[in-house]
Amino acid sequence: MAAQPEEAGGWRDIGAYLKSAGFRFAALFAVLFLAAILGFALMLWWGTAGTLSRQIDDAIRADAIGLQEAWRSGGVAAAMEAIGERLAVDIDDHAIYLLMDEAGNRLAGNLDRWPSAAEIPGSWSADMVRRDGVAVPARLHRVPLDRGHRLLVGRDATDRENLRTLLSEALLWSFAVAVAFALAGAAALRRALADRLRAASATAGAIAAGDLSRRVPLSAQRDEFDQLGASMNAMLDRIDQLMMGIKGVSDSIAHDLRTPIARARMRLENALLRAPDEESLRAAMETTVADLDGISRVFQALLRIAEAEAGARRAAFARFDLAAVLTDAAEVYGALAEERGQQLQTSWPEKLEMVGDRDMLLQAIANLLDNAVKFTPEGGTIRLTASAPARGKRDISVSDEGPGLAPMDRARAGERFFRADPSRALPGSGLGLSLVKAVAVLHGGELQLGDAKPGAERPGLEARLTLSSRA
Amino acid sequence: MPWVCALLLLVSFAARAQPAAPRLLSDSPEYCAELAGRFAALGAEAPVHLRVLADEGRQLCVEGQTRSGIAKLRRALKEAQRGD
Repeated sequence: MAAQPEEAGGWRDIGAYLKSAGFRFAALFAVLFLAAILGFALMLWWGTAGTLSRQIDDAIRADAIGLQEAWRSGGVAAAMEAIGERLAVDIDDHAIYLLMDEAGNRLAGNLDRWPSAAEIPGSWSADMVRRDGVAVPARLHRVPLDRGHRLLVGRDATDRENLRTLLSEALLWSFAVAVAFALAGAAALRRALADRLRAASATAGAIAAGDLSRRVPLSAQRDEFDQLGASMNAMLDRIDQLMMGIKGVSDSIAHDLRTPIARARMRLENALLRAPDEESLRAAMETTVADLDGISRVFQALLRIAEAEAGARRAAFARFDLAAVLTDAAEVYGALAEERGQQLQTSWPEKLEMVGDRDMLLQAIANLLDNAVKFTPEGGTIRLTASAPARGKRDISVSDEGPGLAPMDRARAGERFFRADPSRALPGSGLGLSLVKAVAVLHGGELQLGDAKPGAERPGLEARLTLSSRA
Repeated sequence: MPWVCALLLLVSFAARAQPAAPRLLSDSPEYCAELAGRFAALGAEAPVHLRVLADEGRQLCVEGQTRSGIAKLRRALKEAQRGD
């Protein structure tokens, strides 16, 4: 009884082996190989033994027609003479004839009696006849005659049978060799497949066990397995990057939100312990509510970024006029800029149709304009432009006259909570450009950052959104 | 053991009940004589070398080599027929 689980394991192994892709590919190879051999054998048989059989039947048929003609034109005597003549010049000694009358008497031919296999008029049969006491195969055809007479035309089929025997033996041996080759080939194929997949399988196993640094080794062959391995590696790199991103975001959330939460707590505690009157307590609570609103806005921004990055809103894409969105944004931020003594210059075509998420794009443009207003000094100019550089492409550009971004900072500008040194003193969460970047990617484009006036003392920043209107 | 004997008897009866295959008659001395007669019917029209061939065939039949004799006679007849 103790051996039962082991036995079950054995059957399970066999079942898994039979279900494996390697076995199925190998079996397919073997079946195709054997089918090809079988097809070849059939063609060979048809072209040799088959041809000989057809030639024998054709000769018998021609003979039968000739004798029927003689029968019709000259009756019994003519048929007997025709049979005698044909037998007299049959140098190969293959011809078989027998003509009998209605009483069963032999009239002509070289058979001593009627064979039992040829009883039905018009029938074709294979039977044995004796030559020098030895039974030899014969192909026989009973030719229909009138007046109760019977005519048999046939051929000695010894040569055909010998060829069939030889061919059968040769094909049998060939088939045995083909089966051996098919099995060997199938085993080699299965082994080759297993060898090629082993590396990927080992990598996947190691990653499942927790070693995320492992990658599928690639060979110099650059075949389909290498392509699969490269895809797996790219996927693992992406997962690694995302995990790093998640870790970075978690750290940033912990770091950036700890301070305002601690500040709000301290303010409440101070107010609770030291507030001299109700008015002071109310003022402290209002400030704390404003702080908590800020924290809530940060979480809302994080959720929107996550939503954009996941592409979940792609299902809600619709056709809209980008020009109208730009006009809305320009109205709000134009007023804000005016308040700060700045000027907002705009330029875009009358209509800019595109397919996408209108709200997300409005939020992204607002974020860019918000940054521009924040960093442009009083009296400065902000430019908001848009164009359709190619069919299906839309560009939106926001440039300011602020201090700009150092090249190293530009590379990190899309990261969550990243804030360049000059902006640390200004209000903000470091999530604005992250959202813009995520929205650009959602629309099949990207966010490019550069100097608005390259080489100038204050180069400013140009943020360019390149979008695909068919995203 | 008795059932083995019964089986053997049955097989033997079955073999005996099976009619023997028909026999070919075109390799008999009688047929050789028939062919010789057929050639002789051609008379002096047959070329000399074919008459020699037919004589050889007839002689082989007399000596008991019937199939070889018949083959030679058939060849002589076929050649004569072709000559016609």
